[in-house]
Amino acid sequence: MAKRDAREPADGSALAGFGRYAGPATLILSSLADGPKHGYALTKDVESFAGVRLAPGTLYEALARLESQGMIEALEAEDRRRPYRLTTAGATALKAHLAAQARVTEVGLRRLAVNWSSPTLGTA
Amino acid sequence: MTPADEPAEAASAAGDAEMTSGDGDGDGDIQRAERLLRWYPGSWRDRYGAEFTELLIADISERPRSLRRPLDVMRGGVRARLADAGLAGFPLPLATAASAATSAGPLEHARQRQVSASLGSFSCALGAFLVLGSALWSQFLINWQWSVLIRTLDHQHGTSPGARPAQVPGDDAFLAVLTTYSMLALLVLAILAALPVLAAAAGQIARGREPRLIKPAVVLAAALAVLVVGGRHFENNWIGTGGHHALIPSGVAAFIWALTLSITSYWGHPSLLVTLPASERAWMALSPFVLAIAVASATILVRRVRLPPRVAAFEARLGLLGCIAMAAFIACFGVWLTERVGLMPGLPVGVSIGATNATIIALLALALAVAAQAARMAVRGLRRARA
Repeated sequence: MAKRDAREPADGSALAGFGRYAGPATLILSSLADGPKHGYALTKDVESFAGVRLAPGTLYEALARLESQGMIEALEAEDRRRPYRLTTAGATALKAHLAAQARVTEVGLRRLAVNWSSPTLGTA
Repeated sequence: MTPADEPAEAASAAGDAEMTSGDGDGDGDIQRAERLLRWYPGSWRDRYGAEFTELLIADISERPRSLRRPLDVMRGGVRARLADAGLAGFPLPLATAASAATSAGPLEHARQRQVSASLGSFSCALGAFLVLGSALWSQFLINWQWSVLIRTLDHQHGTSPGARPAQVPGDDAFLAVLTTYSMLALLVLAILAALPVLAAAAGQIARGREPRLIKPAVVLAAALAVLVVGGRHFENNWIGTGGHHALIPSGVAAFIWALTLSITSYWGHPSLLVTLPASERAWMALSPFVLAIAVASATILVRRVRLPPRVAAFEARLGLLGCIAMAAFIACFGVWLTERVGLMPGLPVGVSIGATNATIIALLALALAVAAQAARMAVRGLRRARA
């Protein structure tokens, strides 16, 4: 079985090629799943649901990557602010990626519940 | 990603400047945002500049003091500039449908630009390597050939009783020949790579499809003409091969020596410099600019010419071969240099051979690193375009 790069998303989805930008890309795509947003609105939305603030350079590097991969597309600029929206390809990639993450989350939580919540083991 | 309210404890010089220059008012925020935007290349600013500036202004007004912001923008800007030069995987901005110059889609157009940028950077690195490497090679060649003659004469006349008999063309002939032919291989590869580019450029200029090629093509032709005329004239001052030229193409060495006369440690020794003829000094002052113009115009030409995918693939493969030739030259020359240091008969007192050669070898290694990265990015870009 081929070894997977630890930095790649476990699902091998289209986000796999994003490397260290898979995190920001996931956050951006999740934010755009709610509807088109420009840069600042994206930052605030991500901050509200994920508790992290994407720095401007990081945000636009991820936006450029997502746009070049066809996962998002730019809309007409509104007073110097350009909104972006999720494409079908982006929605598919996000769905696959989040489903894989959900499987990892589910397995991790189940194993924690079994092995790390008993009174004999305590909470390590 | 780090939490938004992370305080900026330490402050770098850049961070300090960014953090303290703002006065909290709208104009100050705009100025700070515009200063940060300058980290990005023009093509990136054309596409994202306005919206990115708006985001920066909002970010600055919300968090006036932040070390993370300027550092993040600097990192992104440097990566975008490397990508603009075809040296990083940071995506180039997609052209809008209106500005895309070809019938290809924006994504395909961006990939073509990435490959062209990589090939352009490769040609720039190759040009720098050829100039610096051939300068070293031709100058060492003179020294080597004459030292062989002097050692042979010394042996014949018994002036150096302890000296070993020189084996014409010399004990280190093997290294000299290896270095010579790795440089010549690189020259041949460069010519092979240039021919399809020049043919494509000539065709596109003739058909009037790419007027932006005319200026770099004319400048390149003029620079090459000056270099050929100057090189042919000053090669007459080449002090010869010391009678040992069977293995070395002396005509090529003399011409290259004349082209690269300016690369010398004489600049650090004005008293020695003034002993050279005035015309030679004038050529030493002029030729670096002409060489730089030739390399720059060739780079611009490669970046702008539209190469068919097969030709671009051929160029990228030649680029990889060129990297092997460059590495071979550095390795051979490094060993040769190590062996020859301390065996420099006739070297004027006070002329340091070590510092200049070490600097040039470091620059050669840098040129090789840039060329290898550019060739790798070109191959990767072509592979993605095919996929």
